[in-house]
Amino acid sequence: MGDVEYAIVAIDAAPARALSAAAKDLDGRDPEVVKLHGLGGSVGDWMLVATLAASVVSSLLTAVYPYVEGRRIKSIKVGDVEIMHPRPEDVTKLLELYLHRGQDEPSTDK
Amino acid sequence: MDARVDFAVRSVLNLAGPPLPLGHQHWEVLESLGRVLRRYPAPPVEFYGICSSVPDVLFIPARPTPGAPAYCVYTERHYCMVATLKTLSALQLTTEQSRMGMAHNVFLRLAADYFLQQGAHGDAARLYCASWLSPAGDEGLAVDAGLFDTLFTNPVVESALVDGGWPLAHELGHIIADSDEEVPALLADLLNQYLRERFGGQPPVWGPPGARDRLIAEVSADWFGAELLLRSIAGRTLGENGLSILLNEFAGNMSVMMLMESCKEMVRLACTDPSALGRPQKSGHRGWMYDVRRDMLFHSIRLDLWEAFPDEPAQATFVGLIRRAMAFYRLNFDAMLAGLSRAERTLRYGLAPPGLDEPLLQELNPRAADWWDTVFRPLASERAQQSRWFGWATREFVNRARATHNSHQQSAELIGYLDRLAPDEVPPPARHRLKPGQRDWSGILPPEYLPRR
Repeated sequence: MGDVEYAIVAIDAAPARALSAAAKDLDGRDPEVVKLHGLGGSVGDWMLVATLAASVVSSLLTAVYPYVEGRRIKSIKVGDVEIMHPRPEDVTKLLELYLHRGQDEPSTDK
Repeated sequence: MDARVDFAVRSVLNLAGPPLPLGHQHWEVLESLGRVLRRYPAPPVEFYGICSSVPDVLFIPARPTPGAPAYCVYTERHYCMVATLKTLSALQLTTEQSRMGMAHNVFLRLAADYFLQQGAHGDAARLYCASWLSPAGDEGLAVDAGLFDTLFTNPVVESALVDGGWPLAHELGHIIADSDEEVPALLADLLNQYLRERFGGQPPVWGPPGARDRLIAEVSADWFGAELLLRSIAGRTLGENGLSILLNEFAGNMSVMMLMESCKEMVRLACTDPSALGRPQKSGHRGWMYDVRRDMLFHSIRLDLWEAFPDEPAQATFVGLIRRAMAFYRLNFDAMLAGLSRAERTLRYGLAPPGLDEPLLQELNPRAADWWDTVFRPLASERAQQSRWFGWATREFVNRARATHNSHQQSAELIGYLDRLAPDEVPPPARHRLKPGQRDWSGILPPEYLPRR
């Protein structure tokens, strides 16, 4: 099963760090965590970028879910699917998609 | 620009499409910076420019690939908003109330931008609409409609070197500072010393975790940014007048940045923890951090000048120029801060006029928000007839709202209404542009608002 590229933009450091740890636990690879500076420097967004085995993407999405509920995630890109201002139901749909893929077929995402 | 960076930029700045490579022919300062950057063996940063988005300058650190440049995206809207707030800082308005009222409406408009950035369309639309109304409950809809229009439509005055170059030089400063471990360490020592003196030996209240590290990073970037700007644009040939303008702009930029960041924090709090906003509390501004940045910046320029002009008269002149720069922006600052607090109150409780005293935020009272939408509609069409630029500003706002893919389950019906109200095609207003270093508002503002000389 192939790897899937993902990118998550969070509104502060806490979810970015927690999701980075969760992603590393899933397949041992450290995601790149980038701070996006605004000019003032007091508030900044954080981006998490990496690839992950398609079989464990659903686990990462499960970890993302509570942060989406708390409105701390600005956007998610997994494979070809890109969601700005995601709602919990958007993540649920994405989760179902990857759970389904994990059971039935190898991923073709790259 | 690679796909990941493009995604990040669109996420943060609420863009409909990708940003464009820098090619803004109207900013001489940027061209000058570009020439300086071309002297580097590998370009440390790539600049991209866009016309309208959240008023921010965004910087993304370099990729781990050796030699890959960092990305810096600037928006024209940032310059417009900075110029608007600076002009407001220097205006001679008749009463404290009118200064505060004007600032209140400017901050509502800014907060509407930040709500759009967070995907909260309904709240953004109500704040945008409220920014056209009088906060004091007057019969008229606007706070001095002519002046308010003028502030928003003619603000891009390249009035000094800093307006165009400073934000970008500062972001480039992050790159240089990140590659030099010694200087941030030195600045951390200087900062500790400064804070001990400022707070009488007590540690300051830092707020969120990481605030101290961020302040050191920002001070380092300011330091290098100022150095770069002085070298690339003015060099050491700055006369007293040029230096006065430069210090004036640095002083103003720090005040304005503090106000904009406080507004952004207020919106972020409203979007992530609206119940906290419903509780009485002070707004999130931590002005002392910007005072620190300004003082450290002045200190770095002073050191630079000390090398060039190590005589005492020059130093005394410099101290005098700093005092003048501070006084220039101090005039209206308290009123603008009061306007920001008043804008926060408006989010929670609505506007003062009878019948509009309901929260604007859907989270605080969903039914009141719908009701407020209905109340605004008859006022909106009247406002559209009063203001020359209502149509243009509204079309621009609606287009940016439409560019967002998703929202926090808020009704965007009011945006649909504004969409129908604003003409499809509105030519952008002509903007005055002054020469670098020129400070002349006489062609822009009504005479009664011109700053005293």
